[in-house]
Amino acid sequence: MYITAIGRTKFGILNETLPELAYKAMLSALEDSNLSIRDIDAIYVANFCSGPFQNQLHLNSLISSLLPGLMIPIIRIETACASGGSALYQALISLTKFKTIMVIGVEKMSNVDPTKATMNISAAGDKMLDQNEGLTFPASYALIAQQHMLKYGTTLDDLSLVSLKNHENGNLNEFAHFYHKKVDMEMIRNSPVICSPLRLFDCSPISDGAAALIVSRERRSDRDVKIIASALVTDYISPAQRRDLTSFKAVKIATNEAYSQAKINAQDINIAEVHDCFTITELIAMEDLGFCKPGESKNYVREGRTKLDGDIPINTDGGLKADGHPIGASGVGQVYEVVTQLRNEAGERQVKNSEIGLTHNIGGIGGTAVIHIFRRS
Amino acid sequence: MIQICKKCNLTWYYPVDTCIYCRAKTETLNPTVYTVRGITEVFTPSPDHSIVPYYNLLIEDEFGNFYIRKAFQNYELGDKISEIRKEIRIKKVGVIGTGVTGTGIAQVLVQAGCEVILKSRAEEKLDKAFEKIGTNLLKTMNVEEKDKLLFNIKPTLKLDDLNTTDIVIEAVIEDIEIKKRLFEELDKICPKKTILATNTSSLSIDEIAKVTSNPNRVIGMHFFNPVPKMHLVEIIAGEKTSQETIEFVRDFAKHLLKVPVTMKDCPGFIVNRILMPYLNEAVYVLSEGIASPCDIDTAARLGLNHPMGPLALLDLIGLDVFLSIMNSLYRATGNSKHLPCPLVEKMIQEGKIGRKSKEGFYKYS
Repeated sequence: MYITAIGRTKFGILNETLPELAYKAMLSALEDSNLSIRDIDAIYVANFCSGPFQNQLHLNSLISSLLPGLMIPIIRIETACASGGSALYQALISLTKFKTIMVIGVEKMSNVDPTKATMNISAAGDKMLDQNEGLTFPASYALIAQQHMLKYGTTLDDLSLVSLKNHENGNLNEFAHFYHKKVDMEMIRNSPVICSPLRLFDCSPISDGAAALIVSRERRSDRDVKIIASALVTDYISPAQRRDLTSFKAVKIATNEAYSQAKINAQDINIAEVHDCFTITELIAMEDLGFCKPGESKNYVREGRTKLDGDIPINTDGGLKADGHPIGASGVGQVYEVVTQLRNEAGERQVKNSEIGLTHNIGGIGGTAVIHIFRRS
Repeated sequence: MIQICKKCNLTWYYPVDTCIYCRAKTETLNPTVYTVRGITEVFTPSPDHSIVPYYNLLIEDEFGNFYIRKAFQNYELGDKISEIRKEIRIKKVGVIGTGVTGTGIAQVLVQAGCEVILKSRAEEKLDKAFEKIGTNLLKTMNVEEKDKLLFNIKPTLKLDDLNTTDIVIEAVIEDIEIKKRLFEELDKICPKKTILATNTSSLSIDEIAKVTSNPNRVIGMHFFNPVPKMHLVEIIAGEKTSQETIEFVRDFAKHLLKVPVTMKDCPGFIVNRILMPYLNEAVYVLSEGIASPCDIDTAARLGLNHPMGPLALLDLIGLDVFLSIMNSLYRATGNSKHLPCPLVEKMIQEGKIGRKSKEGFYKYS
């Protein structure tokens, strides 16, 4: 199984409508290959919240309308912020039936009042246990950050280092939401508190954007990247239902399964795109993925080991923090970056000698966890 | 609510009665002590949680189960809480008054699944209220369903019967002395946690709250007629009304599928404060001979996109009611813009009060 082509739009506050974004990403993926849209056998569309944000559902048919006359199977996948990874997971399973599948992730969020957007996004939490109590996602991750700090002595400055590193990487990615924004430690430290202890710069932004992949059963060119593992695990939706908030069990299980599928271990990963919806999430991801021991992620970021020139560069495109978080597109965007890196096409932010890359895409607070591993082919 | 399967050692946060693994019946867990394990102060408002900052607590019961709770009060990690707020869904509501508004409120409550205790001064008024609610319910349901809902309204003539309610909504005549006496009694009769709401449209919440021993549970909850159709509820916070009371009543209004707006105590609240001078100005336009009633109303309907013109609305409200609201606004503000147009008093003297006297600005048959 191979990623044959990748495409994406800029992420950010964009003028384009949802169908325009989806169309641009599809076109961009086709232009990245020598394939025609007629070569596509089926499409999986990843989207989280076009219902509440756009009053637009039935996205599979909407995508069909962008492809007049094609009339192929198209299905929408929604697993909150993990929709992109889940759509790829589903596409790979379907490669037994289809030869060539397109995966599109798309989200349009910026044209909605921010308070309404906060509510819409909280739909990824349990209605009764979380939403009715006003537990928004920043609040959930604030509680998680607090637990991590209490247990391991992680500090606010450790979180700031994650934010700073991702913004620095984002400055090298012309598609990134914050491509032009220069950020320093003072800005991060002085940014307003959103949900204590998390500040504005600990949170990923609300972005519009789309990304697309073409996956093939067989290798088509030397730019193809091989998918060597694909795992998806689910868990409780609410933090109330968990016993430990400093680690996501679903991520650990999916990771173990992925490593065993790929017959590698954590030390073999050269680059990783992890789901940094909040800075704390990146630290927990590093621990759950086995890049370091539980509680040790803080040392890694203090030593700069996850920077572009570190031994395990993380979120080389800026991550959700700086590249942006158009929810349904984010998981697909992660694959876009890993493929770009493994093809050696990442320009200024290219990590040398990358052979194996990993994507870590989670929904909510790890109620869905999707891990993919890729190898240069 | 937590359900457990002892055999499989599994926990559900949902009301499931059978374990899906072993098919044994589940048991309900009844925790009593909760420890605060996590706290975050939330600064991001959302439509259902618009008052910020608030706190989200992560609390743990004695069995090791966690819960998320919203609070307006800060806690320390490790604090023990003996009782957590139960679900918003309110079971028992007292309604005082069987006029148009009280009857409408009782209907909306019972349709939202509440148990209603409807208090009136006279047996025949209760009968009339039941008849009215029954007729209204039959528009959307069959006789059986209607009877089932009506069964959830308990009529009473005794104020003492409101002693087990979660919230009381008072909707009696707009007379400050009557309301004060009522709240004084309610304060004694109702449990400490019962919220006391008044459906006043013009009286001061602070003045009503003054007579109670615990003014932080007193609040204004101003419904609009016809209550089953009108979505707005003005929620008026007195000086002493607690943040918890405000949030509770806001959520409660939403549970009734109404749209709450929150405000400080002020003469006329929001709607009447804006509406009354507008209606008054329309009467001036008429009395100055500028246009006919019909043209004034047409202009307002089509130019302002209002469903009804101001003079037709005045006929519906009743000129007598309008006059008394204007007078109380004027008394409260001393502002000449709240002096009623002389034509209003003249019409009242001529017996042209509006629809209820068959003539106002228009004739009704």
